[in-house]
Amino acid sequence: MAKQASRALAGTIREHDAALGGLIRANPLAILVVDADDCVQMVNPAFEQLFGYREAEIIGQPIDAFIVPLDRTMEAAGLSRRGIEGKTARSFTQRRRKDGSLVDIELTVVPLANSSGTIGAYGIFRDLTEQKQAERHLRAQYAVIEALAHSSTIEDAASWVLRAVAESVHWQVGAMWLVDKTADRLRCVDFWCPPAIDATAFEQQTRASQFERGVGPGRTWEMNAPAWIVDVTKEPKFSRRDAALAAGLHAAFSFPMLLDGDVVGVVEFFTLSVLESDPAILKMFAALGQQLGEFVGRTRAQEQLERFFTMSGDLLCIANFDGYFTRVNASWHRILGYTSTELMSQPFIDLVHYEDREATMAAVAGLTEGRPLVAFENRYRCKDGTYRWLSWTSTPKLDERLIYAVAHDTTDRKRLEQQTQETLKMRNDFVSFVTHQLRTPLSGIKWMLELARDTDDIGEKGSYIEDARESADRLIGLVNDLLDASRLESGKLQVTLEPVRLRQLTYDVLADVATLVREKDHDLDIQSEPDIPIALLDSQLLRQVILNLTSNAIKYTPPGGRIEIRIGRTGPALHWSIRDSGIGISEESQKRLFEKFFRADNAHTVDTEGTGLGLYLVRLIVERLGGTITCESEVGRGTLFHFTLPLAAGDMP
Amino acid sequence: MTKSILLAEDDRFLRRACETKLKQAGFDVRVAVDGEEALTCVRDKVPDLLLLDLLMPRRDGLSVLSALRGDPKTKDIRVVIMSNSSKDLERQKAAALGVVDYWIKSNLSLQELCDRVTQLLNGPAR
Repeated sequence: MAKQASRALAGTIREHDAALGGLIRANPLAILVVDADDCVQMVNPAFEQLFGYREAEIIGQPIDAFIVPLDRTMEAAGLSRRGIEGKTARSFTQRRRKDGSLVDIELTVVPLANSSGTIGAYGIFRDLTEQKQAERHLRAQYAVIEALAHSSTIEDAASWVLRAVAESVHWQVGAMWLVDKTADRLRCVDFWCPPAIDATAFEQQTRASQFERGVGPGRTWEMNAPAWIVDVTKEPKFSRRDAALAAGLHAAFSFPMLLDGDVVGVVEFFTLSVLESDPAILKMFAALGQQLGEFVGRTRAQEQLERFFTMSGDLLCIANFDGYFTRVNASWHRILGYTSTELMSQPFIDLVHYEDREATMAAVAGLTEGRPLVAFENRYRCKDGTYRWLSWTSTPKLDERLIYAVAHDTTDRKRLEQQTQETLKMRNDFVSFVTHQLRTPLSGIKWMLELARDTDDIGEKGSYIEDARESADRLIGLVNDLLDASRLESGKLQVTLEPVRLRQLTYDVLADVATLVREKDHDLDIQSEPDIPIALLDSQLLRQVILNLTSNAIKYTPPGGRIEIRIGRTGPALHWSIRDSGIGISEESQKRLFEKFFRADNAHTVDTEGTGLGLYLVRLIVERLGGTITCESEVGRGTLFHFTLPLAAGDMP
Repeated sequence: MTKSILLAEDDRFLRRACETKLKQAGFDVRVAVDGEEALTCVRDKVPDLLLLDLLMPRRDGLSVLSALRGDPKTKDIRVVIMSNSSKDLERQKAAALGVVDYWIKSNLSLQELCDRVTQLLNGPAR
């Protein structure tokens, strides 16, 4: 009965349609006719095309079974009821195609009635895919722009971008990759997936992966073009295939992030369906790739500048025309010791050395009038109270009332320059001093020989020649001292260890200077502890030390003075001291006493022949033998020299 | 009349050589072995010429010179510096204190030294 009615209905409609010139058949809108039981009576070719069903497949069947998604059955039933009740209804909804994909539609239900009342309904479907897509793309675009605007790096933005894009195209999973230029690999920056999908393994594998050019997302990198995979689980080369299969992912597409035509990154998305390449999606993402790439470029340029500012070894700052720093880099803290808050909370002029303030203020005044500053130097006080020399290069920005400045710490260079000057002066002093010291005995030799030549008296001749020889000896002594000093300095002097009795050696030296002691009528007192061991030392060098110290004591003590020598042993060390009642050495001179060519300020008053090498050699020798030497003195009261030497390993009792 | 010379020189070889040569040339030569002695000698009797070494014990040559220039009795004394130091600073200081000349000892033979002294004291060689 019902079937007959249906057949009658279908026939009626076809007749009507034919009469109206195929209004239904030829209509570009998808049109469906159902009977009062919601069974299909007729579909037009536009319907067949939209949903993928042939009319013959579904005729006479309840329409619910074909195009209504499970979650829309209530809504569909409601619409049908309204149509059967004779009312027109409209809905913006989704229906399912034969291939399972959803399609956004506008559905209008119009009652189909005859004289006996409502006998069915028309369903008229308008495909909203393009419109919806455009809307979604717009929304995605907006979401991406917003995400980028609120992020300072692409890493911060990545998760928002992935989510916005995925939701807009109804794809589920997204990953962003950046090119690591050093490793020449793609590195995963972020991964997004809605909580409803369990893609844990896929996410782990993605985050841990790095891809070369031509592999995985690296294909997009290499090709510099979007790519589409209909089903990754069917792709043998897809390295994350098992994990994708586990997460139920199939279609994938990826697009490059482009900066000036270069790929700086790749974005990829995955969906649960198997999908053919969609030109609309690919087109949309070409633009997005450009946008993301440019963002990366911008943030990188900014990061580079920021890094430049932060990492600079020089002191970089921005100051306002009111005389305060508004921004300083980390070097300020490193070099001067202040926190940036400390630096910015006081006028910078307060930190400038008071001697440099006037010049600094003049320089700042010039800057505020628009004159840049180059190689201006001043001193800044550090937190510890010391000062550093800074060399400034500064540029004003008048419209901002700001000064952009770079200061280079030149303290060390200044110190070095000063040292070089001192070294140079020392060398000059050395040259003129040595010149003088060499010329004197040379003049002596020359003049004595001249006298000897010009006299016929054999006795006189001999006496002049003897003086010439003595002058020559003095010259040789000086040259030898210079040579010894040079050898000791370079460590080339050979040390010959032999058993030495320190007391005996001292007595031997004193015998050599006995005449001098007698001439000056000094009172000489030597005391030695009884158990001084025989030590392994270089007797020649030690002799030189003792001779030098005793000669000095004799020389620099006015006649009738007292000289005390003490020899002893403390534990593993021998010690030897000599105290005189001589002219003494000022504190200032004591500090430099053992330096090369140094002569105490009052030494010239006693002896002009000194070379300033004696005590220098003494120190070098004592140090070479592993000992130390010290001096205590008071001007006008006398001097005490004290040296210790280690007993060598093979001491004898 | 025999001209008198005071030779202030601390190096005993140079002192002996100079003294001998100048005495051979017929000058009246006295010697001083350091700066203090030189000052005493000049004050005792102002010589026609002071041959003054710079680097001497007790009182250096420039200090002697400056003391002499400060004393009305000795301020006009003729002085020649005889030094082995060729420091510009010392030359300048000596020049400022009004010396006749500045000689580097090692660059002169005794004969040259003697000739220069003779010329200074007796005028151009006859």
